[in-house]
Order: sequence, then C-alpha cells, then structure tokens
Amino acid sequence: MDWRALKRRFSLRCGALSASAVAAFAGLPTFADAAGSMQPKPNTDFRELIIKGERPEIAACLAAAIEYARHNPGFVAIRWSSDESDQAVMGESEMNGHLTRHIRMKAQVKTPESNAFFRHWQSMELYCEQPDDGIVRVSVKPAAR
Amino acid sequence: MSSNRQFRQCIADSLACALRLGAFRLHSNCRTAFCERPAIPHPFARARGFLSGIARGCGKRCVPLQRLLRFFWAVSWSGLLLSYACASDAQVVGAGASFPAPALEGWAKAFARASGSAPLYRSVGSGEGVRRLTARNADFAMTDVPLTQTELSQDDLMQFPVVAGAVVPVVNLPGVRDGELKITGSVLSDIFLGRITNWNATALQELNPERRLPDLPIRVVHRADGSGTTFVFTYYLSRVSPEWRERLGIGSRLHWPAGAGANGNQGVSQAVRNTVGAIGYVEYSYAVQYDLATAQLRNKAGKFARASDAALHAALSSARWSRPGFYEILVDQEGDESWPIVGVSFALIHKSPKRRAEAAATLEFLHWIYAHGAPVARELHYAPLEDAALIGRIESSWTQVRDDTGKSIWTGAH
Repeated sequence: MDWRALKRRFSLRCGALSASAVAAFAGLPTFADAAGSMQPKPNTDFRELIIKGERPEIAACLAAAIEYARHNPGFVAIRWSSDESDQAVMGESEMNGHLTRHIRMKAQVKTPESNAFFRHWQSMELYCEQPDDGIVRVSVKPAAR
Repeated sequence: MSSNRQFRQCIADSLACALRLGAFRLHSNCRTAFCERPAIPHPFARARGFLSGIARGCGKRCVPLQRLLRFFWAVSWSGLLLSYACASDAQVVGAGASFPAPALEGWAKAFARASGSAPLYRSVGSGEGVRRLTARNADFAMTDVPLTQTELSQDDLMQFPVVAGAVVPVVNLPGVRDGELKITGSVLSDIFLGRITNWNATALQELNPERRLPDLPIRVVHRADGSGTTFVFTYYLSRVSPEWRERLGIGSRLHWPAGAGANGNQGVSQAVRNTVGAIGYVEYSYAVQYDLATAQLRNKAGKFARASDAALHAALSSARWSRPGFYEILVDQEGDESWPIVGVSFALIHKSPKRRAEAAATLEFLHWIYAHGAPVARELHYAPLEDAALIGRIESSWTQVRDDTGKSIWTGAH
C-alpha cells in the first residue's frame, strides 16, 4: 500500500471516528431527556396554569377547581378570565401551627341543565380551602348579583 | 407569554451564554419546545460557510482557499467538541424575584471569582421565575411568594430560604428626607386603597405634627408584574387593615384600586424618583441604591420603626422555619425594634432535574451562598441566613434531589 492510499484511509477513519464522536456528544442530552421520564408525574393542570402565567399562590386552587368540574356531574366546564383571577381574594389562617389558605373568586361554569345547543356560561363564586399539606377543598355556588 | 417571545428569550439567553463562555454550547434555557436545537451556529462554522461560498464561486483556481476551508472544517468540529466538553462545567441559570437580585448578582460575581463558573440570574419577578422553573427553562427560581407544601407537591418542587430583606414604603415629597415621614399600617392601606388622596390629609398630618405636609395629590406606584414584593406588602396590609383583607386580600398580582403600575423593584424605584408626590414600596436595598426617602412605620409594639439593617435582623430573629417547605412570612412581628414588613426570598428547585450537571452546579452555588455569601448580603442591606442548624437542615434536604437513575445528586460540598 503506497503512502497516499494509507493517508487517505487514515483520514477516512479519522473522519468516521470524529463524526461518530460528534453524533454521540450531540445525542447525549436527547438520551438524558428520554431517561428523565422516570420522574414522578406532576399535576399537569397546575403546571399548565403556572406556564400560562397564573398567580402561583392560587394555581393549586384553580387546578383543584378544574378537577372538581371534571368529576362533578353537576358541571360540564369551568373557566375564568385573567381579570377574575387578578381579583381573586386570598387570605391565610393558622391553627395549631397549620396554615390554611382561603381563596375566593368569580368564575363561570356550564351545567348539564343549560340548553344543550346554546349552553350559557353562568357566573359563580368559587371557594377553595387549601391546607398547607393536604387536599384542596373546592366549593362553587351561584354568584350574588 | 407568547411562543414568539419565548423564542426571542431563548435566543437572548443563548447569546448571553455564547458571550460569557466565548463559545456556543447547549444550554438549559434552549431546551424549550421552541428551541430544541442550537439557535446560533458555531462562529467557526459560520466562517466556514462564508469561505465555502467563495470557494464554490472560483472552483479549482482557489486551491489555497480550499486548504483554508479544510482547516476551518477541522477547527470548527474541534471547537464544537471542545464546547461540549466544557459543558460539563455547567452554567447555572436562575430566574425570578427582583427583590434579591442585587444580592444574587453580587454572589454570582464572587462565586465566579472563587470557582471560575459564573451563574446567570435573570430578575424577572417571582411569578415569571416560578413559570420558567416549571417550564424547565431555569435551573432554579427565586421567589418571595412562598409555596405551601400542597403547591410544591404539584410539580416535585423543593423550597428553602436564602436571604431576607425589608419591604419599605418610599416617597417623593419636597422637603421630606429619608426616615422623616411617619405612617401607620391602616393609613398606608387607605393610601393604596385610594381613600387618602392628598398628602395634607388629616390622617397623615396628625401622624406628622412636627411638619406641614404639602398640598399635593398622592401618586400611588405599585407593581404591574407578578411580584413577591407585592405579595409580602399585601400580606402586611391584609394583617393591619380589615378592609384590605376583605376587598383585595394577599396576592402577587392584584386588581389595584388606585395608582399606576411599574415592572420590577427597579421600575417602582425609578417611577417614585421621577414623580413628585409619589409613594411606592420596594426592597430596602433599592431604596438605598436609588436614594429614595423611606417612611417610618408603626410596628406591632406600637413604636415607629425606621428601616435599617438592625430592624430587619430584629424581625428575622423571630422566624421559626418549622412549617413544610420552610414557609415563613415575617410581617407584623413582635419587638420594639422590629421592622414590620420583611420578605424572605426562597429558592425553588426540582427534585427530579432533567440535567444532572446543572442541578449539581446549582446546589454547589447555593451551598457557596450559605457558606460565604453573608458579607455580600450585608453590604447590600439584606439579612443573610447564618443559623448553622437551619443551614444544616436545608442542605440535608438536598439529598432528595435525584437524577434519572434515582441517585442523589448532592453528596456534600466539593
């Protein structure tokens, strides 16, 4: 084998090696992300509300309200405007060292009783009672006019 | 935030990354749905593209140019490989509250001198910080809106206190210097409710009999963005005013009954400085930095307290840190010296981070803050956490931060 052929073969091998090294380095983050699926599943409603820019201090209440409307046969859907969430009134109380957040806000719901074709959104008052380490309790009642 | 804005943010972060490190590398901020690939070509790759364009134009006549092109090909790949190799020295990216931003910037500079790695902190407000962390666009977030355990568990988050600072009312009144104006919580609440609209109102004049207050309309300045400073300030107003508690409550973002909004502590400081008759609320270090006149506030003991480092420390000493997630808001605390509105800046991190190197570097940086950051914090009028037992509890909780294989990322300081 002459010198030129050896040089060409060597440069080809080097090229292949560097290309595979580049591919391996570039692929590393992707593989790491794929393996990241082992983490515990977060509450997607909460995450979506935060990512949309919802107030973090009331996001758990709103996520619980979505869940409440989803599983309560008395409701079809729930929604609120950004103005309504800005007007949400939050307070805190403490009993025996345990903190509870109380949230009150206006929201709109659709109920199964509404006309099937022209379902109107009804204005409601949403209440959340959120202990610092427990389940958020949600209640909804017609808004005072 | 729109996808377009998020994309622009990603490009800006990548550029910052390239400028800091001298070379582009994959960055946690570029891992969003909109920036899965490197947004900026490697500088050598860009030069190579330019030369190959010329070489194509002149064909075989440009042999030296083609040699140069080969050289650039080799250098660009090795540069890329080098930048990936350097990526193991992960750059920490934090985002969130503007409240502790001066301290974070000071710590980042000092940490860079000590370790050679410069963390990047974006002062975007507590709400936006939590949003970026949740979207995995930051390695840690700083928030002055502490999350309860219920909220933390919704997205495998961990929370711990880093530093405390005083929230102070600041005014721009002709003839009134720093610490001269006296206000009570209920009067402050009436001003922000829009009930007291003039500086010479009876309620204000009675609290300040030694001076004649000017006949000027009160210009209220509040935060327009989701803000932890607002959360702490409204927490205080809810504590001292039943009307505030009933009508507006506590919040990082509110439907304000009076005034104009400004972004960040910087925005409020500038607005107050530029508006005669203005009143706003900012973190104490901003009041010092912008040379704003702070007001005295009547505390729980009934004494008028002046904003000072001593008054801040007096309030911080009453913290218990016993609740889950170290949840603590230090408003209206006992003590003659105690400043009545003190906010704590909390760090938020994921328990299951996607990028191990960045998570380890974040914890290393936070450990450095607890171990060596106190002088910088004190210089900037913050109260650092110096209780060894508390810091021990915080750092031992970091063992819950685990990688994909379930292995703890924090194994102690290096």
